[in-house]
Amino acid sequence: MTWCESFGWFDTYDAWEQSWVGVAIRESLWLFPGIEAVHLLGLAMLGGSVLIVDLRLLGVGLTAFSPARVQASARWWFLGSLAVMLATGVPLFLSEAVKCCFNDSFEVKMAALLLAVIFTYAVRNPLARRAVTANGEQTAAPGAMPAWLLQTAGAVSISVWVTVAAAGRWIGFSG
Amino acid sequence: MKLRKPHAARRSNPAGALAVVVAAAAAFTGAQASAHHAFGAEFDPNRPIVVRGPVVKIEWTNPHAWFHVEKSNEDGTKTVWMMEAGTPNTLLRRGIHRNSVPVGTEVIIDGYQSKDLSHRGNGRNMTFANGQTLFMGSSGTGAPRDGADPTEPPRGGDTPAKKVEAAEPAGDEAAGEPAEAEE
Amino acid sequence: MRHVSLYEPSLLHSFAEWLDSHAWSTALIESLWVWPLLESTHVLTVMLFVGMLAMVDLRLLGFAFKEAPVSHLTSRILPWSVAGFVVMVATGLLLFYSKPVSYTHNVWFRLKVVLLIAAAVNAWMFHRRVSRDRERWDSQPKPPAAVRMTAAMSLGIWASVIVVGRMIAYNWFECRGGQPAFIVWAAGCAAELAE
Repeated sequence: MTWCESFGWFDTYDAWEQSWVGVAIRESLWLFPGIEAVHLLGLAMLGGSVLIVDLRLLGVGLTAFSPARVQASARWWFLGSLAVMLATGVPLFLSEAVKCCFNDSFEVKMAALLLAVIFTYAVRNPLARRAVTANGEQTAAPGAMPAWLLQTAGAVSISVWVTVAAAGRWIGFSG
Repeated sequence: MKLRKPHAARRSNPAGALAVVVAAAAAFTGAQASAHHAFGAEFDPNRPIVVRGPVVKIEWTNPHAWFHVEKSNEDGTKTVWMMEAGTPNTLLRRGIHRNSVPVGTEVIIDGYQSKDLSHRGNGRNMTFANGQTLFMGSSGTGAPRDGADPTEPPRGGDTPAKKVEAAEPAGDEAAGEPAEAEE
Repeated sequence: MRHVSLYEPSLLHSFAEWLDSHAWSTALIESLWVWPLLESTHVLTVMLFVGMLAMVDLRLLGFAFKEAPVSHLTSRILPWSVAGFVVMVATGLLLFYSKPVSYTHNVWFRLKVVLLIAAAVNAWMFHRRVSRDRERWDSQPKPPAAVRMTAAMSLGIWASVIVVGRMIAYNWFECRGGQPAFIVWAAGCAAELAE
């Protein structure tokens, strides 16, 4: 049982699927594949902007700079790709909302997405912003971020974002 | 897009009560059919078809399996229709596996024809001679859980037209017409 | 595989048929889990491969990480992209092996191969030609036009590869009767056999 089924959201999902956006995408030959392709382009950019920060937190990648600087540099690219993902993901969802109502992978994806966004803004980014020295030095400085904490944050961030992507791909395989 | 010729006046073959039931069921359960990952990119929700005949070949392939069913047309000719199904994995979870549908098995598959009007369709339900119906489709609409899901309310709007179209030609004709339109 | 009779027997086609006749190819395309997992890995690796590459390209364009020397990104970030590329190629070859005849005559697949060649040429241009005087612009926030050009080409080509790659799954242009002459030619279907 999905949440959609358990909580009786079917009618709502059904209404979404009947929205003009959903209908237009379903009736078109090119809209779904086209939007889906842009969704994938967003995935690539999202992957880059997330991984470049997480790798730094793990102690690899752009080690000449502090995690704080890498995070600040990647910030707008992350927000931009997240915006592309939402702008394309919502119409794709509308076009097949009923399918999503019965699809476990979709709900896993949404839960993971929520978790990923919360984790990124509540835990990872605040940690990265406090890690202001370049190399491993911050562990020695009083009150600085211990390396294991940053590494854990990086590993968790990669895991949840990859889960979002994997569950998303699996929507198509788990019908 | 070529128009489908109206054949309502023509006498159709006695296709069997089962086919009528399936066609009617298709109208109801199939109303939520357009949920294939890109159903709209390849298949036409306004062209419900019912293909009845022996399975002549199964392509047990990813990402979608294909059932080839030889349909006997009214004029005595035979047409092989390719009906798209889910992934081998989803089919297995619904109780359809390689050996459960040997070549030669008589089936009735209802679904939707491809937009290019070739002899291909997106399969929805597969009904066997004993009346057992299995959802073979590419995606969940509730049907995967329990066959035809009675908890899903039939959809308003486009449903009535579809119901008439699918139920009236009683199987054979629905699948036969587009084939003619193409030639 | 489907529509085999429509194909013109070419060397390419014969090779694909030969691959297709392998038991492993059949096992792969019919597999319950391996194929979906392979395909998912291929898609998800775009995050690592194109994602990391895009970060380097954005630096070359002067759009991001401007305070970092270009060499810092090519030595610290590009290897991750290369690792992703290796996974991409491995999973991609296996996916091709699972359905060789179908992909050989898929217009999108053919276009993707052309784009991959273009990407290779562009990468060669960057590493062999454009990068020769890198010391001169390594620390410039905005490298010279020639450098930015290859970076823009890289982004554009790889974006096209992603889009075209996704389209491979759609069979609008399959070898079958009624396809326009251009498609019949581009997909390598035999014109007289495509009815």
